[in-house]
Formats: sequence, C-alpha cells, structure tokens
Amino acid sequence: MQTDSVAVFRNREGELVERYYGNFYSMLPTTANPLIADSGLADSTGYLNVDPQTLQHK
Amino acid sequence: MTLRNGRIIKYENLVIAAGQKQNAQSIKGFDEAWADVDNPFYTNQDHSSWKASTAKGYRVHYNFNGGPAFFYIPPGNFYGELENYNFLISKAMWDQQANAGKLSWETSSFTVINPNKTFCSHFKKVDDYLKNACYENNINIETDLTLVEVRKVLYE
Repeated sequence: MQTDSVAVFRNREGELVERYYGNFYSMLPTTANPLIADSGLADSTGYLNVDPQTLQHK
Repeated sequence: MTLRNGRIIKYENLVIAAGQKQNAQSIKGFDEAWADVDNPFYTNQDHSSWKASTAKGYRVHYNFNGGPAFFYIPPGNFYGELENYNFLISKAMWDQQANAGKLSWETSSFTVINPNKTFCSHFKKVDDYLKNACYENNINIETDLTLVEVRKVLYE
C-alpha cells in the first residue's frame, strides 16, 4: 500500500480542486486576536483599522 | 486602562501589539499533515509535538527531489507577510539541485498559491517586484484557490 499527499482547494466558483504534491509549504493560517476583535476597537475583520503610514488607529 | 488585577493606568498614547492567533484547525487535516514527519507538508513554524531535533522543514525542503511543489499563502491578514515569503530562495536552491541532477524541472513545477489580490497590500512596489520575480524564475502564481483540506490517498 502506498500513499500520496493531496491538498484540496476551493476555487471562486465553489468547486473543490485537488492537487497532489511532493512539497507543500504553507504559511500558518491565522485569525484576529480576540483581545482586539472583542475590544470594540476592531473593524468587521477583527483587526484594528490603522493608518498605514503612521499605524495610528483610525 | 484597567488591568485584570484592577490596577488602573492612565495613558496619552497606547500601542497594542497583540499579534495574531494561529488557526491551523480551520483547515481539515492541516494539523495532522504538519505534525506528520513523513508528510512533505510544512509551515513557517515547528509543530508543538516535535522534538527539537525533528527539523522537518529543513529536511523536507532540502530533500525535495521533484514533483509538484507549492507555496501557500492563506487569505486575509496573516502572520509573517513578506518576512516568510521565501519562495524565491526555495526556487534558487532547487535550481541548484536541478543543475546537480537531483531533480528535473521537466517533471517538476513550483506554484505559489495566493488567494489575496496582492503579495503586499500596502506596498505596490513589493507586490510588483514579487510578481515579476516569480515570472522571471518560472514560478507559477495561482490566485483563485483557498486551501480547505490536506489528506493522504492510499492506493495499491
């Protein structure tokens, strides 16, 4: 019995797409920190909305 | 600002650096594939179940001997934007290995899957640079795929 490694993706049409891989590097998926998301300071994404030039909270 | 112990601190300016929360469990099979030392699936961090000597990322990266290779960037904000975009280094290293006969690009490919619109949402020059560098180094870019599951297929 042998094995293959498969990554399954969803495309923009909602279809599932399989890709066999010999090497797969993934950045770790993350989510907003609840400390910020639930603070009342965050926007709908759960992150602070800041000025990209100054990082000052809008 | 009131701390958990009730202490009140007054401030004129407040910087909050809370970081992001890891969310590997949001993708079916992600954590199992990451933890499995024999699965060529790795991330920008060591898995908590590993011994210090496991060095899976280093080993998998350096022992790649051909086939489809992928670099995946999750949608939305994420830890390590740019800092961990090491796909150009991977390609340069694998090109060296191809020159040494360890792998063949005739039967291999390298694809960056980035469901975000850009590589760097606030710095167009960096986005343009990375897209151009991928093109010049024969690295494919796909933008319409989001990872939902990682699994193994058994066959005889």
